[in-house]
Amino acid sequence: VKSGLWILILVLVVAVGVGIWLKPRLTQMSADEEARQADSLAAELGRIQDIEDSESKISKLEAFVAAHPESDLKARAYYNIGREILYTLEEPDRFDDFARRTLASEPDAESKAIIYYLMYRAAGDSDTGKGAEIGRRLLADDVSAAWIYNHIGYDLAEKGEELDLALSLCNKAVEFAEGSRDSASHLDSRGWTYYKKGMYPEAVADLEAAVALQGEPDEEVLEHLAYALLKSGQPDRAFDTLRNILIMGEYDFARSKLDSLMQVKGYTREQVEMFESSIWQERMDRAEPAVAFALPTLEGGRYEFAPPADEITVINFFSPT
Amino acid sequence: VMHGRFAGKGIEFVVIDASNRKEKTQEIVSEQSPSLTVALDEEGAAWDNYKLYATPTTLIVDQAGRIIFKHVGYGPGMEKMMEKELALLLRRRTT
Repeated sequence: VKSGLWILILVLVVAVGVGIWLKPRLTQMSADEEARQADSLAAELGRIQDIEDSESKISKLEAFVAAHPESDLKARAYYNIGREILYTLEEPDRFDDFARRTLASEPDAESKAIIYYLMYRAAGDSDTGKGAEIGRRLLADDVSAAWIYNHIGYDLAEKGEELDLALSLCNKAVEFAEGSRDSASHLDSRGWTYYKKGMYPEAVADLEAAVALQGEPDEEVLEHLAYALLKSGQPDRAFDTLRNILIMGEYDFARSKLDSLMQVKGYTREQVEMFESSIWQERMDRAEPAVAFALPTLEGGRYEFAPPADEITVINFFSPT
Repeated sequence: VMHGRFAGKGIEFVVIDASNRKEKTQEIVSEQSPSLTVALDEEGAAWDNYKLYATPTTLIVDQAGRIIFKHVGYGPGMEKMMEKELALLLRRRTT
């Protein structure tokens, strides 16, 4: 009996040991399997998107949505259905029906957001009043996707229309996005809306917070901040902000605004030249080394990028829409 | 389109397809700029190396191998701005 007990204990110990050894491997395997499935779903959707015939594309996209109710790609499929109806078939009534049905039945926030996006694009491009109506419907709905509130709010603010509604939408976006990587761009939108409303201190506060959150500064946010600083009586800080934009590149608005500020300050020719050299020097100091890579080409060859090259190289990372 | 204007000035233009949809890319490139080099970043290796987060992203790398300019997105005025950047870079090289 005693030796039987020992054997049983030994078997149990080995079983637990094997279990401990296997668990992370099985988890890894299932993560790999999930990633593989996601890739193959994305490829499937890509193939459907490339179908020429609209009706066949739409019915395949609808089948895709029905077959993968939990997939993150569902919103992309809805987007392509809506776009096909609106812009290829040009059937606005059919789109309205599709949008209404989807908003009523679809629980997924991203998918609903995509529908609002298409509705706003279809209405708001030509008629701000109709676009604002979509914005109001979105506010009344509870779609937990910050970007759509941001998109409509910013667009209205940029057009200088319905600024109170724009601010409510931007508030919602900031609230939903808090702590996420999109927070900076949503704070930028709200700051710009404050600017458009003439609330300059609030604009500066939001725009400064947006800049502080960004790992890499964005020229558009800095531009907004420079304008808000100018309006709130801080021309020197605006000047420095515009200078920071020129360190990033030859952006027209920064260049022309700085030229006029330098004129106001009474810069001499030498001072302007010194300013230019200091900008160029700072660009050189900040520039990071480019990384080498080698990739297959579309024609079946191979492209090798091995900096430093004798030439200037313009690299454009692109994806077709 | 721009690369034609800078032909013969020591500037190489490369497009990197970051979408894994090479048929569509082929279609667009052959319509707009058939002579352009198009590389396929199928594994996302170049994308990861440059720590990118959105397309389109445009980089200008100078002869010393430094990233002089990086821009995310495409808007009106972008082409004109790139031309200014390249002209500035060519001018700075000769001074």
